[in-house]
Amino acid sequence: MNNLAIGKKLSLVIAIQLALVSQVSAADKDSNTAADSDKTSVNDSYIEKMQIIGHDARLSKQTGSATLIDELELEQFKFDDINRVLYSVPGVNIREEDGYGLRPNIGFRGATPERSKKINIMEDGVLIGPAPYSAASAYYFPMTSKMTAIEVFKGPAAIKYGPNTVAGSLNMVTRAVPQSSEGLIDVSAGSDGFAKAHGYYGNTIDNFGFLIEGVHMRADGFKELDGGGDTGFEKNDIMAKLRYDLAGDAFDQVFELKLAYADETSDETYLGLTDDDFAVNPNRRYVASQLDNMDWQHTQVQFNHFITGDNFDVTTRVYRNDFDRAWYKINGFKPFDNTYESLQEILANPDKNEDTRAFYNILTGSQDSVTEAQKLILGNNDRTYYSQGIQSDLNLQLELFGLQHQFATGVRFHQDQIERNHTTDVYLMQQANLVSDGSDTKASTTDREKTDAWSVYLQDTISISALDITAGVRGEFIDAHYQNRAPGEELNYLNKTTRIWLPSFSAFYTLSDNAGLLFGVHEGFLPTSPKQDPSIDVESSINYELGGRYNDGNFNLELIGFFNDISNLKEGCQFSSCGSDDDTEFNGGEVDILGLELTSGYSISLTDDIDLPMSLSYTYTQSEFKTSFESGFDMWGNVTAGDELPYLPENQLAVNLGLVSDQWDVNMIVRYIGEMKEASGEGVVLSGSTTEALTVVDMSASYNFNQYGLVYVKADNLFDTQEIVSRRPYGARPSKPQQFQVGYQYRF
Amino acid sequence: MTSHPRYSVLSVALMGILLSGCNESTSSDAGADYGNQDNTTSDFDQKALIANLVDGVITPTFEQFVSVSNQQVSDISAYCTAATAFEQDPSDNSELTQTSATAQQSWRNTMSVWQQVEMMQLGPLTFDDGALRNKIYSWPVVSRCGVDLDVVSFENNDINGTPYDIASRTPARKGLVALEYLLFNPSFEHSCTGNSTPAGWDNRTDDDRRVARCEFAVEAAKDINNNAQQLLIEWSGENGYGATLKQAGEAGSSFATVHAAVNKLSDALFYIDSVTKDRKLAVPLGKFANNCGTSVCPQDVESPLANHSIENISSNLEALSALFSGNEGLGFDDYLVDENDADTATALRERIATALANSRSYQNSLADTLVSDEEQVASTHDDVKAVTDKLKNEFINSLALELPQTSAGDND
Repeated sequence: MNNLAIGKKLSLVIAIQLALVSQVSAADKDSNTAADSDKTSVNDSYIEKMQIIGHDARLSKQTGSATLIDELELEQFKFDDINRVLYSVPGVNIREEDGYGLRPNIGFRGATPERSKKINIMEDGVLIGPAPYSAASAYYFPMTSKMTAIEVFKGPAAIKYGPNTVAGSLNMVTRAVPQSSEGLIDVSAGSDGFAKAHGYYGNTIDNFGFLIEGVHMRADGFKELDGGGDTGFEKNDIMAKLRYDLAGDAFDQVFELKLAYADETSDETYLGLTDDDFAVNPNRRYVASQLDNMDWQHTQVQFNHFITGDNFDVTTRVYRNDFDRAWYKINGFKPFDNTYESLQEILANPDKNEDTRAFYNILTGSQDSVTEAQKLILGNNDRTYYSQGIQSDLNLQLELFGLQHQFATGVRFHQDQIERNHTTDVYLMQQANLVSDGSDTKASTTDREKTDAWSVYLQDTISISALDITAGVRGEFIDAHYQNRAPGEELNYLNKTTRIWLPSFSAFYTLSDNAGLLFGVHEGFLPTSPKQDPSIDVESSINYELGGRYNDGNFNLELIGFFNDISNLKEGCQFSSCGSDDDTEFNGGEVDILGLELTSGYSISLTDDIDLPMSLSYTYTQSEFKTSFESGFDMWGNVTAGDELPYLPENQLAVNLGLVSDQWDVNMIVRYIGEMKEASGEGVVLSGSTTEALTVVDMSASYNFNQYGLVYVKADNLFDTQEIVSRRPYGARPSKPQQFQVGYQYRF
Repeated sequence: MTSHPRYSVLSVALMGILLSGCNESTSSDAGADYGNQDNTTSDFDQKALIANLVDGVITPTFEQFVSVSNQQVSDISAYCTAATAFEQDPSDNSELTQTSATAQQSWRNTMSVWQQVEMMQLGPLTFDDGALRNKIYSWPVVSRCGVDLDVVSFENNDINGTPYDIASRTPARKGLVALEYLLFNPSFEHSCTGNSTPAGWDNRTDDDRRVARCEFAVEAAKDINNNAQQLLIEWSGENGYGATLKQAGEAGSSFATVHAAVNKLSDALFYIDSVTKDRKLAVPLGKFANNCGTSVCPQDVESPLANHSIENISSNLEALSALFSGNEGLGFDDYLVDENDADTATALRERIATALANSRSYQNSLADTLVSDEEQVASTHDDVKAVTDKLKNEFINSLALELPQTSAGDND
């Protein structure tokens, strides 16, 4: 292959992957055929390419806040939990839940993190939530371990990705088909029965490339169920990609098919602890959660077409995701009479009276159920989702009126649906075991929500000497349908149409080769789900950001202030937040969120071989309701103007330090997350409650034996600090305790 | 270069158009059974219905409760005076016997009115998870040991170093459930089985214990009367919840429509289903798990010490009848007739009357009848179920009302 051909192919590969994964992880591995001869030098050139293309060339002039976590950074800590990855991104607020990040709660810039429903979660540029329009809660979340890059878009940068533009978008990038024979085996084992096996192999032969990748991960769980039993999980993920490159004289094209299957069974629960029990053993789990189990399967088919010419490229994606899940778990006691208390109420105050004490004793198995009100309800929240669509994005560079324009435009037709087939069973606690009371399984929520949505966006970036101005607009045209599917409820339906145009404007002013200033404003929007009463408004906001960047290749600094002027904050009830499954949504009126995001990185060369990279990420956030109101939403209650939003820490800090040589590296990350209010106003169970401020230290180290592979060790939560990260939905829940892990990676 | 400024103008204009062009529109159409937005089609004056139920039925009941609870304070105080005198001179117990009987009858009178109020759990009685209701009557949350402990705490005016204040005490230790225990319990032994027992109680004479209980009973009766007055304050007047109901649909009202307020009133009726039928009858009958397993369980009746359980059920039915018929004014029955469902109006009137008459025909207490004539109690349950079946189906369908959550899950 001559140099020209190699060069063309390389540039094509880079262009393809830029487009297909919407970011710059193109060069997963240098495609130079000489790669096999010297892996170290290939790796060096790979690192250089990632840094140059990834950070300097691509992001520094981005007219909006965008963060890229590339494969190198992901490899440092080999995190399997998206929460741990995103703690290093400024402006991200997280409510932890199970400690492993199985069902993350992620928000950006103060958006409520519940089930990550206010952000767009994408995989390879395609919406990946189970039903992003019809049921935004992300009960499916892609396997973090297989990602090669993670992108976070906030501010006006988010306008290209809908439907949720109030907060931003998270794009997770899977491995690209390699240009030459390449593979990996990664096995590791750790505390609490943790084990992971991860491997991939891919190659490109002439114009045909393929990749197959699989991950298996399991853990016994760190929770200790009273009386014994499993509290862990097993996850599997397998993905195959087939790619065909078609280079022509005028255009180059790529066709790619991606197929993926994933499943999970986890003995996960929403049941937490009383504060007193947490103080004794934060990892305890009451026996009433012994039958709790999540079981899901996810399949994915995606076909991509990419065509590029001299000054344009078009990417077209056709996708279909199917997701089936059933979560069998304790909902609470049978609401039978006035002795009824929710699990949250019981665990917040078990000594309130004799009845709550009895309820608590039943949860712990120290007392048997006797009366009807002491029976336990376990619900099987069985849901079937699909999400499918076609989207096409065009990038065009041209000169008009003597100015350089970069047009980006796209159109998407998307359909998604959720069918709920929820049922409940009644149990007795008898001799510290759950025993059916013999009654039949009853249907609870039986419905369907379905959405057809057209989305378009148009964005133009104009360069006027040192000033890059971007103006854009996004349109969302949503036809939503709700149908109660219970017998006799045929007339219980709602058809709802929502139309909205969302403008954005941003500018980047280049001060020097190393520095620039940015400003942006855009309209944020969050649709209501199909079943919501039309009286519940969509969430809308005007979001501003202003900041600056400096990057001289060795030292970088980014400081961005943001202000989200929300005219109507909208929240909804799920089991994860309120402990009820009616998905009712609430209006919260006007809210202001103000914040500051700081990131910085610097690398010191200690010797010719050893570098000391360090980075810092800090977020300051302030929020307040602008009006006083009484809300039925469990996280708000009776709100007085000036009250803060729940689960939004004022201060968050992550400091990353490393020692890196050619053959080995040691990395440490220190995270601080300030305390968070668990409810904004008065009059709800968790009024006045806060989570504890938490400082966690993670460490990792690896040694590269070259052709014999690489050995790594890591310690999550090195000092084993555990605090209450949330008292929702039912009682206090811990952060992940200390976990050690040792692994071996072999690349070929 | 002339194109730069021209283009700048153009681009700024474009951005202006884009930024000012933002808009959002939502339109919808809903099925007849969707949500709570429905209304009936006739021109029935729902506002007048609300006004009559508020002014003609509910407010008088709340006023009556204030009155009987006030009388209760006097009667228990008289009993207390007699008990104190008897402790000093036990030669003649006639005054004690008479005042005790009067105090007990006063409790029964108060309870009978309260059982009508129970059927009217709206606004202030439901706020904060029914806090005010529970202060007056926390059943089925009952703490007999807690009452015994508070008898002594009140006597010593000491709760962990602070003066005793009944207003801040947990509902299960006061209210009408505590009074029943204090006035009707034949035993003067305390009911505590755990480590916490009333200090010095076992060393006191029964006469002394009677006085201690009686004095606490006066305090509890005063607290009930205070809370009854509080209920009336929050219910009545220009800013009361009664006015809120009557102003439904008007600007500034918390009820978007008049029909939503009608639905709120309708919700209250379903106490007869979830509490009267299920908790007061089905549980002691063993149709639901109870303290005896799943067999007949006399100890699980509502007012076991005062033997007032069936009277409570009669009072519930009386209140239901008043709310349904509107007494002398407009009631739900008139609304049904206007909606061309006179059959349901008649059937419900008859079924309520039958259930009420049969409940009044008991010769013995509910607990005793459960033992001697279980069939009669089962029959009462069926009588009430005949009412609730109509309410849950024809009634809510004809009047386009939503079932409250408590009755949506079918326990039948």
